[in-house]
Amino acid sequence: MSVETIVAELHRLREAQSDHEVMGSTAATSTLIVRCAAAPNATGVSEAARRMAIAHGARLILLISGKGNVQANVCAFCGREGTETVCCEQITLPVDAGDPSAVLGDVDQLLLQGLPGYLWWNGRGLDQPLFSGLRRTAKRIVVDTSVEDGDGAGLVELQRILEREPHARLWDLAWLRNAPWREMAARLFDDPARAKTLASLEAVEVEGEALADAALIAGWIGTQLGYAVSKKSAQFKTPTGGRVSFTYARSAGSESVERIRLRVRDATFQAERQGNSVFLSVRSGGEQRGRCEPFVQCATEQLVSDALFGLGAESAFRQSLKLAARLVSR
Amino acid sequence: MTTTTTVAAPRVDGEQNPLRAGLPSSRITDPCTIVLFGATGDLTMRMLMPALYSLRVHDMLPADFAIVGYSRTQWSDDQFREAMKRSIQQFGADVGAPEGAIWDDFVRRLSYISGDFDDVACYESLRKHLEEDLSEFQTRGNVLYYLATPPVVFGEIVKHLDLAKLGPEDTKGWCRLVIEKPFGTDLVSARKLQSQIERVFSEKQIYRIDHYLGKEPVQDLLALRFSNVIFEPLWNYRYIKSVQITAAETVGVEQRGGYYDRAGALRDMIQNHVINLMTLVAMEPPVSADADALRDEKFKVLRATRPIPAGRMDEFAVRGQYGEGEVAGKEAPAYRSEPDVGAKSNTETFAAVKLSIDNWRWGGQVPFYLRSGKRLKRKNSEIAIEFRNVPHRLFGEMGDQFEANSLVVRIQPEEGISLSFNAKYPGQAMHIRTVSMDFAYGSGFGTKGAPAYERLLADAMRGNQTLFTRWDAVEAAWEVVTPVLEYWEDTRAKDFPNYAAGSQGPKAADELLAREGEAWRQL
Repeated sequence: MSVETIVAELHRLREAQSDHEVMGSTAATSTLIVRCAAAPNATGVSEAARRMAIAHGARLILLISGKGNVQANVCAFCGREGTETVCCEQITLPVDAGDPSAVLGDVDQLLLQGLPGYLWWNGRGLDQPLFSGLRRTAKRIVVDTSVEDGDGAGLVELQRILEREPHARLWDLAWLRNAPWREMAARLFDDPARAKTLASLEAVEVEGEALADAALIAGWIGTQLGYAVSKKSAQFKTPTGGRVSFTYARSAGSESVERIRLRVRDATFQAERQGNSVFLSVRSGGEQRGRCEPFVQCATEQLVSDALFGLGAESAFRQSLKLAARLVSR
Repeated sequence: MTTTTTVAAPRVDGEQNPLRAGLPSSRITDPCTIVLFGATGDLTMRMLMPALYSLRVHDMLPADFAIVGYSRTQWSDDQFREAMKRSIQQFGADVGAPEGAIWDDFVRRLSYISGDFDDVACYESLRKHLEEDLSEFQTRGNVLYYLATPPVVFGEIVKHLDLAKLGPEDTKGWCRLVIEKPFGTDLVSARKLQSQIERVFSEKQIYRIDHYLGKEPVQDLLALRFSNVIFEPLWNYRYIKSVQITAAETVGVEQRGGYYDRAGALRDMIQNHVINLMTLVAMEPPVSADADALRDEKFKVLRATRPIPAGRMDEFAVRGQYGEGEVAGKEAPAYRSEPDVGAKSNTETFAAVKLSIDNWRWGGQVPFYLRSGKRLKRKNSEIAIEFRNVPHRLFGEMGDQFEANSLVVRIQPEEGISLSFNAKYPGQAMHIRTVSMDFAYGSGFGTKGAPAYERLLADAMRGNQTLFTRWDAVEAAWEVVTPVLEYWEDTRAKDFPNYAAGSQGPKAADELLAREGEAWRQL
């Protein structure tokens, strides 16, 4: 389907809406571009994208890559937003596996001119030319480094992009998803007596599904404590010249992170996922004390929505990513 | 070659938790015991206990906390717990049913003391509760006293806390006092109460609560003013013609007739809520967002507020009292027929004042019209900034039918911001029409703000005084309204009741603005 045909179809949809007196305002305040792989996950992603489009008044451009018989199509959908009915346009475009960048020209012409574009890059391929091309059209971008091939390759690529494009408004779902773990790690040291022990931190150990998640948590801890990373040894260097090791253990089939363990001179602090809770504990001198805390994690859709439409710049993410990329790029 | 990446960050220093720096403020970190004086009263039942439970449900309360209720009602711990459960069921709309593991953990932390507020033995009992909480719930000796009692006992409670050595000097951790409004009934009584309190608590330990300041749009007013470049250049006497601040209610005095008949609208609403809003509209940009920087600027506004000249009160202040009428299709009785209200009551249920601010920004040239009333046509709290009109009308007679710009911050019931401006009506003729850009919080962000009491309780536990009123501002606000109060007390209102329930308010209020060629915004 050519762009001209798509535009004509969009026009016809608007007229049909007007003829049938659909009670609702057509959203036209931004363009939300969502790239996802073909089935099985495309349905869930496109439904989430539709809800976001209604909530934020966006035209939705859905780019489907990978195998599958995807045809370009145009449709409109409506939903309730508060007391209002909001209708949005959706354009679905297949991404040609042989020439992924070919779709860029179509996307450019289908953006709502003069209005911001937002990109949810769902899936792998931060090094693809298509991602590079779409970045230029998007005001804000969200990616997920934890799904990239290779150990931590996504972190390294993302850091490389941000070094080249420091003004890009780019978020990583791996970082956003780990917000509750940062809170849990902080809770381990809220007691002033325990906070002091961080000065003698010797090891950061993280267990989870993906190295990217673990490295970002370690990177954040390093950032908070003013550490540097030695590229040669993939260890932290403390401001006083000490060394702090970072270890990642993979637990297949888990959700993101399962356990964070921080070893200080005479004690081990641990946050461990237990169903809907996290068990926070301190082991010292053969004795263990701990308590359960509720573990509340936002749905991916909410995280993406916050990243694209809500969050402001966060220097902690950039700094943590920098250290995390160093930790994994041995 | 070894390369390193270094980032500037806080180091491990002192007793601060370096991992917490920069995290979104979620859980309150300091453990504490919250002591609720007036634990069986309406405020605790409707607001405080549902707010505390909501904070617990949303994982905001510290891991270690305890709540002690203190009131005259003869209850056991279990009766108190049952009553609190009922209050959460009835008034805790968004927190779900109080049951399951979270409720079980919450309820075991509740205990109760029954007794008079001047009973020395009860304060001894309170001490034991606090010591038990310290040991059982690891509260580190931090204590937050919340005075949700009638104002008449504020001084008494503080005195007895001191006598029982339960004040800041004697507690193991931090010790804070939250005081509900009204702080005094006039300038003299407020100063007396302040002198009683400051013998025991320092200003840094006193949290004078005005729940209006905890509302999301009130805080957004700060964001609107100080995070947008487009408004500040216009925010002065050269471009703003007047400011209207309205706090209108449809309800009557309900069960508070006894209290309200001694207070009235000026004390109950204008002296605190509405004047606080005025200071936020009128203040200079603070040097930072910290509590004292903000409160310094608010105080300066009150210092610059021109006293209402004695002998000309009626030109600047109007009062009203509702008679019978109809509100939202239902018959409403006259104020004087409400329970616990005198048949010849002289108390105002509506007050409107016109104030001016004598400083560089406002030049005494911008009237600030403040009004508040009960049993009015519509529930509506808002701040309306009315801009001056264009200096020259370019479009002739046909194009002249447009209004000056206005910016309205809606506080309740539908929180949001509207900016009205003028646009050409489509067609060959140059017709200009006023249109509006609307922002509604409910749909704008797709997320809800924290209810006012949750936010303020959390701030008090965190030690953040930004949204609490400092003594100098309380005193200055009393200085503004006390002459009016005295005048009204000395001069009986011969025309009461002077507005029907369900109306826009008394005619005299309209005349207050009509003299300046202005009119109140319609409710």
